[in-house]
Amino acid sequence: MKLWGQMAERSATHIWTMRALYSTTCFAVILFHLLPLGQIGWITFSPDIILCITLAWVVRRPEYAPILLITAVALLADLLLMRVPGLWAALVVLLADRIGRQRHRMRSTGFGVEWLRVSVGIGMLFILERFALNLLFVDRPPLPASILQLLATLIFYPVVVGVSAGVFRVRKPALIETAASGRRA
Amino acid sequence: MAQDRTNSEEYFLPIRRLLIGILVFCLILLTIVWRIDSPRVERFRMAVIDRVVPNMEWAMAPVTATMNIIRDAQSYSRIYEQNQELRRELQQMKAWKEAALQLELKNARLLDLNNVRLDADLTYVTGVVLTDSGSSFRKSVLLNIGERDGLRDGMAAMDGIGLVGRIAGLGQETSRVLLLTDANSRLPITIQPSGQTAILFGDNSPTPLIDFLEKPELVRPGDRVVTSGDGGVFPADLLVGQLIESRDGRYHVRLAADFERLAFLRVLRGVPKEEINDQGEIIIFDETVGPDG
Repeated sequence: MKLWGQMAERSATHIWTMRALYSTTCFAVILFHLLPLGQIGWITFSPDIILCITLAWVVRRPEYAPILLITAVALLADLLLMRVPGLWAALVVLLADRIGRQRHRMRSTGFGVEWLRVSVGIGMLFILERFALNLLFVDRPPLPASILQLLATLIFYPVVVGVSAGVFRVRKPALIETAASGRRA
Repeated sequence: MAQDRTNSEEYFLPIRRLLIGILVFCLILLTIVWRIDSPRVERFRMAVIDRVVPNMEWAMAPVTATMNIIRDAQSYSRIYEQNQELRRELQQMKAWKEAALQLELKNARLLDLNNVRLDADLTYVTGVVLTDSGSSFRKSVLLNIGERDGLRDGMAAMDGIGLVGRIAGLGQETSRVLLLTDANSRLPITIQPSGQTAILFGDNSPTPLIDFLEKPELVRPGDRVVTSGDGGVFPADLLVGQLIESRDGRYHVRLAADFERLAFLRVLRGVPKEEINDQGEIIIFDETVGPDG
């Protein structure tokens, strides 16, 4: 029992470390957007890296990116990056939840299926955002720019997944754990 | 352990859904509030930024500095390129400067020619006035250039500014210039800017008389008088002088050339259209050809 307790403790510490890492990474991305580097062209079409990180981590280790943390980060990004406050955050939360519930089905399949599902989700997100902005009579970004940002985000997703897996060790649970979880399901 | 977590996940699923619903509702509510009461939410946003961004300053400063260093380095790497560019431009500028100097010289030359009313086709020989005529009834001077220098009868003689007269009498090394003021001098002229043509009669006075003016009302004192080139003896557009009106209402010409001090004269070596052999019959028609062709 003592051993179990130690493992649980270590695991809890590890989880909180990874949550801190998630927040820090997202914060760094926001910070990078805010850097006074002038109008560099690719910044305007920059991929939504926070969304990529969130989804990649939710697919792999949802316990590292709990929904409250995702909400906080997304809302902070909305506020700091001068977007419509709350709208994009709400959409990100919905998509993260949806992807999180689908992750059991993505587990056994390859990365291609995951990428496809995530792409469809992100595409829906962009469409919904434009629709909502239209509904609220807010000036929408020009359509070509939006599409470019969407494509950049989709292309960037595997990169984020690779970095997460390689650098941050955010990988899908080991096979034995998966098997156990699958048997119970 | 895994079992516990799975169980707890299953157990908390409805609560989780409720939580997400509340979160999304709150976020959308925030959006709607922002849409309705934008200033208040924007103040909130500014408060958040105010609280967060200065705290990030310490993190931003090194990154910004690094980016600036990289940008500077890029500009340094372009120095050679820029230097080459500047060299090329300097070369071009030198070429332009050369061209400008040449144009300036050409312009000065053209201005000089303008001042002396030289036809560009004409070359000239400059001679020194040897003697005056020595008689108050004959207005002529003798030059130290003659047939040897390519002079022909009828050529125009000018001082620096205006027409003086024409070659009338040619020796091997000397020539006589019949001045415009001589009583025998007749010169077809044009009065600018009206373009009226007339004949300038020398009358032994310093200001020759204008006659055969068709429309005197078109000319005014002060108009420029130039040679018309009619008769083919003189080139056209040589400056003669200025129009003046005498007390009796007749027009005279104040000559541009300084007749008081005739020291150097230029004789224009134009190509005479017709041979002039005789002082009295300057304009002659070939009897065999005739004016009718």
